[in-house]
Amino acid sequence: MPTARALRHASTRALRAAIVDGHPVDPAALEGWVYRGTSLGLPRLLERLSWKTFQKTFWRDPATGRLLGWNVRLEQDGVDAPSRPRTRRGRPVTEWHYEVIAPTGVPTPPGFDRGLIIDYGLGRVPDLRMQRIKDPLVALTPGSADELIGVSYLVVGGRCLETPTYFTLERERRITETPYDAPRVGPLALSATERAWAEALFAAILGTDGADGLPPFAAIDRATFWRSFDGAAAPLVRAGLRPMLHTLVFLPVVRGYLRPFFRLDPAEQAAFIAAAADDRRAFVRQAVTTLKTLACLAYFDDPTVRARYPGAGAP
Amino acid sequence: MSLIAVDGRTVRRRLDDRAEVVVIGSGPAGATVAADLARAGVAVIVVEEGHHHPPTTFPASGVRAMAQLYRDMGTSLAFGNLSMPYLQGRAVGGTSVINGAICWRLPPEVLAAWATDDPALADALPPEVIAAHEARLEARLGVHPTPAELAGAKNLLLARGAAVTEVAHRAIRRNVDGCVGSGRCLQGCPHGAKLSMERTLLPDAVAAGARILAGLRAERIVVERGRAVGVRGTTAAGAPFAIEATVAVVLAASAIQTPCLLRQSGLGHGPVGDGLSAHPGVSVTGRFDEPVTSWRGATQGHEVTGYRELGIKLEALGMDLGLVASRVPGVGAGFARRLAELDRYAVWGAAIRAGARGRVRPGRRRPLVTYSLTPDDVRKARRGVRLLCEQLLAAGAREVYPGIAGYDPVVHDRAELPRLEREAPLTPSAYSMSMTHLFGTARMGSDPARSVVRPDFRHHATAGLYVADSSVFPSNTGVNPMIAIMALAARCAERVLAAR
Repeated sequence: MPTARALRHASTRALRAAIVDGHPVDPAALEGWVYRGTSLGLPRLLERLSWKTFQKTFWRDPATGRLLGWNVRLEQDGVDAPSRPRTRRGRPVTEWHYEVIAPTGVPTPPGFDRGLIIDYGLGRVPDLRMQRIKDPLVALTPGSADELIGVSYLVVGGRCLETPTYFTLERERRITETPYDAPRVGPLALSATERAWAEALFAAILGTDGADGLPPFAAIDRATFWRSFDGAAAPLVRAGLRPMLHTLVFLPVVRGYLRPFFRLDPAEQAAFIAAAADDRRAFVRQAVTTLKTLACLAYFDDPTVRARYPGAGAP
Repeated sequence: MSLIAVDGRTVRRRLDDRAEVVVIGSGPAGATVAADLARAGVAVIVVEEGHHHPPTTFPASGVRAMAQLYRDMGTSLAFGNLSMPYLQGRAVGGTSVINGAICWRLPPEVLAAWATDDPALADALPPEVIAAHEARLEARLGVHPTPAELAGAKNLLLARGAAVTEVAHRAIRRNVDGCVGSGRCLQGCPHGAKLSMERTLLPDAVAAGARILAGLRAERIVVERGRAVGVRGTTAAGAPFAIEATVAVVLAASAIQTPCLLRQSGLGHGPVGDGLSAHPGVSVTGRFDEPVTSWRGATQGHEVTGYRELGIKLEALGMDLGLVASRVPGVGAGFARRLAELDRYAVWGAAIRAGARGRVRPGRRRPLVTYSLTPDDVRKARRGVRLLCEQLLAAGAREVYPGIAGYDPVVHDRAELPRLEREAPLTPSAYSMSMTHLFGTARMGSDPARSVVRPDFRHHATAGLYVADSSVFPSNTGVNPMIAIMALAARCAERVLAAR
């Protein structure tokens, strides 16, 4: 098979042959990567009016497990110039959102079912203009997803109409940001206020204040922990966290402090947590133990904390 | 050749397929059945709910690994007189991806007890046949004792403690090749050195023609005229799938998922979902003056075998920072000071051969698991804590933390330990425990009233349906069961072939 570079000047017939003779693509090999795309097969005038280079991304949605992606507009600096995303309000311009799916049950032109399908009708940001467009995607080299070729076709009334809009994709770099908001996590997830309470309790349980190179809990990145917990923990455990949290937040009111946990000063918080850890009631002790485990998992997920312990590795 | 034929995360439209045998689950049991049948020329499809994760994607962070590779992030709970988490992998390769790689053969006394309880099992599971399968599988998985140079301090200290107390101990035999002692078995080996199923028997099966369909959740066994003829379910992308099985359906989905699938399919015959047995575990943390660095060295490289007759086996535990920290006592500023010297703490565990029997039922969103320790189990747990304290102190720990609510939080001297075993409370909720190694929820036997599958692994009431995982074990084993599960699964594959 030719390389992506060699295909830049190939005929439409040769490009079509590259699709039909292409190799399967392992979706896992795409996940998390930005690819540099080069449009092929279009007349030069059309390319000049639209774009010659662009980026495609492949991102696994942690909430649904779907392999999604979007195009990034590039400044047209030349085929071999470094990628320079076009920006709007300081952020890259993204468009053509899609999902990558297997060709199972998808209408395709003959021979276009050897790899994966980029389906613009299933993207996270729907675009009615794009929903009939699909791109088969195959690898140029067996077992490698470094160089890919694709082409767009339309599905109209169950019939497939091929277009000459071929493109190659070359692996460029890891994805560093997505255009999507944080996933919705359902009714079991803690509210922002409850999460703030939980983090206040985590901080008091851990007791780290910057000494010995251990940053305070508030200084670390907690987003990955919450995303993991909300997305993966058992529903019963997520549901059970709320009563534990509310118990520890409001128990100080009846334990002589007359205020909830988040109104206590740091010394009072420390004293309350120490007493709760040895409470005679199993439920209170269990609440502290559970929150302590979560606090430790969150704290030691942070790269700066892990760096303090030789051999622990980056998260 | 790609290991995965279909990634269910990309299948948005109905998927139909067909094979002679459909195996549900790709863990040790499913992988063994698939490999043995495929090598014999059978067309096999393996259906796996989890996804395939290459070693380079395994994170070091415990929380990330749990979210990626564990069912429900390791927070599945069994409810009873002490709520306990139970850990299961959810990936191509099943729990073998995230276990400690500990290999034990099925103890002869366990097999003998099964045969005594039900003489039909003596013919069905001849010790020499099981041993031959175990030897073959151990060879394939490269099972060998952990060398001292890879063990790391936590394992060598356990050896030291056992030597001082003169109790039988040994380096753990593990299924690894090229282990560098990174201590990350439980997060998935980033070096691919653990010879888990997705690196051994599943590639063997694929090379022999089997196909692995990942990201497909089986929801129902299709039964027509009393015969299992296929499997239905949903892909990870939400599309329905149906796979026809012309010869057999083999359930290898674990002692939790298998009985749920049977019941969801209307196959509630016999005590399906009853009789859950397990190895609940307690752990004790010890503080040493020398570095232990629990997160480095072979994850689990040494074990004390001298208390097995008591139903207790001690093991060194290796885990990521967050889990080590959660086992260090205290809260607040005192805890922070301990975190600063986290490398001085070792956590060792005792697996209990419990007598309790629990129950598994399909729930609306998750299986409902109930399991209550018996008074004797709690006594064993207390003794396990005492023995762990003893080993830690004998190994040179300055202090140990029994972790029993209502008892002294710190012990400094072995002379204090007899009092622990006399006076520490026997209330289950005083202990913090977790459950591993689950068995017996579709047990094997000749009596249809007392068992779910026959001695030849066939379902008592449904033709063409087999159960190959630890659900069929009539009891727990007292040791880490992966090799035994695989050996029995190999026996199951022989039975499927014989009936073909």
